[in-house]
Amino acid sequence: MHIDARNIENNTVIEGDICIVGAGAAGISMAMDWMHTPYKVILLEGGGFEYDPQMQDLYAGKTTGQRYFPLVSCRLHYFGGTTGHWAGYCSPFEEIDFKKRDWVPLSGWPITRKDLDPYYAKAQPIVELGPYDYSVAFWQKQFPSYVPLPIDNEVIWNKMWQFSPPTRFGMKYKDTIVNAKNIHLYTYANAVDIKANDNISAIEEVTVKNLAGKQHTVKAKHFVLACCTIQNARLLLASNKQAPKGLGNDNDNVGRHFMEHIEIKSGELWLEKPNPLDLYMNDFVTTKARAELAVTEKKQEEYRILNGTTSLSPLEDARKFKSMIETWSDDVKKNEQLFKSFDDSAKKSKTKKAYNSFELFTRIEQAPNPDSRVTLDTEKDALGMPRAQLHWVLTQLEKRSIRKIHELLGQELGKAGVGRVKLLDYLWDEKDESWPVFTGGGWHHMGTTRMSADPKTGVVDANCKVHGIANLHVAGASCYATAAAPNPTLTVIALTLRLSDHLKGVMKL
Amino acid sequence: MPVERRRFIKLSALSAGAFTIPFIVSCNNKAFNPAMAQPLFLSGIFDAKTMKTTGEAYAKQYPAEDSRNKLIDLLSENSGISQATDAATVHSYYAKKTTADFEALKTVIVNGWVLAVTEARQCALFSLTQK
Repeated sequence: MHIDARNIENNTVIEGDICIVGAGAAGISMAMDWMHTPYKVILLEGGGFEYDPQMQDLYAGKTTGQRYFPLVSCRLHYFGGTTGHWAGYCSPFEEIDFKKRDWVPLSGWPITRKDLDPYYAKAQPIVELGPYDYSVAFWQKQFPSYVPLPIDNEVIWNKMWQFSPPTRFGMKYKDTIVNAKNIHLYTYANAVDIKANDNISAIEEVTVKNLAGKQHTVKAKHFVLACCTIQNARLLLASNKQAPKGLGNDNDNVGRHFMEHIEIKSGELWLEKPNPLDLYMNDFVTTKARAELAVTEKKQEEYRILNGTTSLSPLEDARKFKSMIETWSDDVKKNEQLFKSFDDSAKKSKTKKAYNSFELFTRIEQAPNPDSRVTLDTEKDALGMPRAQLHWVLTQLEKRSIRKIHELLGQELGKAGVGRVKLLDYLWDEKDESWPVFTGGGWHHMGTTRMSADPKTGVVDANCKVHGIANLHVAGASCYATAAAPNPTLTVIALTLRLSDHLKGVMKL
Repeated sequence: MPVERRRFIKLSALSAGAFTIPFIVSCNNKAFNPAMAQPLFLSGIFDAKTMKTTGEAYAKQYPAEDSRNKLIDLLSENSGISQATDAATVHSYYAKKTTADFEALKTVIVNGWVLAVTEARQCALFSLTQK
């Protein structure tokens, strides 16, 4: 069922069993998981079904610290959320990503990879992926030309990615959601405030507003914030009428530990003989799966480095493109054209089959850092809500890790007689703490309501419930305790489905 | 320094003297087998300029080795290679030594290149012969 919140009587009280705030990958996945149940689910979407610049402007905010993309265009503010422009990269986190690592501050989740495995399997079809099998052997059976580099898997291994078409949730699941009898989708319903009971132990209602001047109240037994990492933190911080520091923020963790994947060109691989390296290629159009080179858990531990992977692209193609941080616009439409130019270029480049030089491109986790954070600005948006402000901070651990990963790659590829690796010049001097101008992220926002068993070091518990508040949950990458290397969407959905199962248990479904 | 279009050094050309590596030396300089200054793998991916600049950078990074005689000593150590040894044997020996270096993690980062110490020294020797 769909209701446009601009068209209902002002001050309507909307009631349901579960209220999901946000209709992106997490919110829609959760809502679909509750279809055909006896429970009434309220799904709130701030925007409509189409892109609207006025709605998008509600996501605008300032950034300081490490140069970052304009916040206004990092996330899409309409039904389907940022799946409207995601690239479809999917891979699960590894076991090490959930572990306490004494060289990574604040690392360690209160759950393990095994806890998420069944939900990863369940998430795969939602984003139209193949089977939950990320082994090279499986994909080599499908594509015999997928030949791994002859490297020592005790040091470097091939981490597989699968590619979603990419699934645009707004298009793919609109009819499913709108036609579901027990799902009540409200568009143009921006959550601007959360009201708790007197002792702030449970949430009573959420206030929603729109630019048509309407304000409504949503009451439910359970509330799930699924409006993305920056907005989840913003909403909790802005809900400060009862708790001056914001809801769930007794220990000053909300908004802190903002993490990104540093995505940056990092080196070159030169082979003696041209090789197609099909296993590692991605044409952005038809590729179902590919591998990236990753350092084993054992070696990460030995060298005390972060988890990251390195992808390969033909150097002659890669050199045509500037980095995203240098080209990304605050205009969503221009960015769509940018993505299209990559697709077109990828199609053209398929004429050549083998190369002897490749660009090495790193995606690596950022260590949790309390100074890297989202706060509220003094400036307010058109609905009267303080805008988000992001202060992105990197540390030397990230840079040292990128350097070490490439040194290890160089050693292993040299040992195998395959080729030689060249680090880009910003990595040459191990004492150099600066980052080059093309340092960017993957638009992967994580960590502002991090998961921890201890309320002193996290906002949500192992079930994604906000510490100290009985019926307030958070879905999405804001719950990540650490960022791992993979793009976050698959894990967002898996974690959300796990939360969904937990809520079903609580509600005795 | 990225090399846009590499003109690979062909070993046959090296052996034929395309890049002059003298046998005849002054009284202060030791004589050496010219194939010692020809890192086999790198010859397939480097042009002469890259090999020279890489060798110079190595010498700058390890000033104690910034000497032709020192490099010859280090490269010749226990090699059994003489001026009379044929080029193929020399190339094979240093290729194996390079692999052994990688296996033993005896590597250096020079101008960003992750190299085996042996091949880096070969580059350095090459660069000194180009002066």
